[in-house]
Amino acid sequence: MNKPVKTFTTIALICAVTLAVMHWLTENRIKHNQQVYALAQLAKVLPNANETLTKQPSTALVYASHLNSDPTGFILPLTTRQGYNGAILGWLAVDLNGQVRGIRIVEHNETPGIGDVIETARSDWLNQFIQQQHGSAIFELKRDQGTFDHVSGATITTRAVTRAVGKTLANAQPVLINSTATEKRSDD
Amino acid sequence: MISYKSIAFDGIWRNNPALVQLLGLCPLLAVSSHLATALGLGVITLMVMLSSNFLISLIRNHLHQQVRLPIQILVIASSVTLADLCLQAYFYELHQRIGLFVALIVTNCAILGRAELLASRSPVKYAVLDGLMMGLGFLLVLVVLGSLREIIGYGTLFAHMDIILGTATSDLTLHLHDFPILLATLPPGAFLVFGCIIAFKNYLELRHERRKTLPVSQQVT
Repeated sequence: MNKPVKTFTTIALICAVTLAVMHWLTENRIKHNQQVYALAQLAKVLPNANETLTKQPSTALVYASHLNSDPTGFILPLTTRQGYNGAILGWLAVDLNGQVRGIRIVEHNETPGIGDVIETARSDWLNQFIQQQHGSAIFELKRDQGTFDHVSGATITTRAVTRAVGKTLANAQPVLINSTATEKRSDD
Repeated sequence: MISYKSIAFDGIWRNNPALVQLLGLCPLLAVSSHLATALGLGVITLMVMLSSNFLISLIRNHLHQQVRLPIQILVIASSVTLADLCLQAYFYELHQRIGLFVALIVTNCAILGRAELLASRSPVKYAVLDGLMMGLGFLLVLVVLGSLREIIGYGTLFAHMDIILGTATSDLTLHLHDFPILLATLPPGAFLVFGCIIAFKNYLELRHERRKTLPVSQQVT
């Protein structure tokens, strides 16, 4: 082997070993951080900061929330591709009867300053959904003969979120009735 | 021989990697919408520059012509990956915001440029000082740009500082005014503000030049 190749190989090996050691050292900490972060993002959707979350096997009700081990409800994933720019992802917290307790959008690419009214930090537009449930309202904008206000300039974004909330609640309703029934039976 | 003073002056002002060489602008413009994220990326870039300059200068006698560039990129990429792992392990929330651009530091031409131009042919002490000063120059521009864009675009300063300093200092946010100009937070605004900073630097230099060339009798101060 000629000399440049030898040097290159040696340096590449040193780099690889250093990175492997560093990866091994930080691996657990990073995994722990990821879980803490994901749960913290999720917990923001709950009205009570002391509630705890447990992962559910169901894909419709992803987490169950408890307050002092009493069940308080579930967290549902909120997704739509009908926004102005790519997917909008969020979480919806409902109580055992399916009434909305909290809602939060965690990921979107809507236009900054216009479509970002769906962020809780920017506007309280999302609060109109609180205490609504499947059947309590028409999940369309008022201009589409529905119940909810739109935000001028962000009609597409707000329409997409409104419909997604309606759809999520409707889809979750049957599962919710089932699991609440089991919950009640096991209590008796 | 290169003097320490001229290396320092080069890095921070005369040959500033961002303002004069216009290198590494992608992360510079992308993360500078808040001071906190700008500071975060600036510090990481500084660390990477320092360590890559140090390591490359250390092995400079083994850098054969044929494998010189691959080795330099290998060293820089390894430094960046190390920095990225540390960031994920200790500043996870900061990583959530600027993680994408941390990986892009590898392609920051300012770093390879310094490795190639100075570190691979100078003693370690010069290379380290150069890495520090070039990194500081980049960091300073990021901080100024981040502050200006945050003040103009959001009307605040020091928002989200907790992602760098830990949760103990949760709210340092200063609300300066209620007339945020959205443009400053968008990519075109980044270019505009950055252009103004370059123009201001050039203005300062021109004025300095003119002062120097004026005969003493005509100087009005």
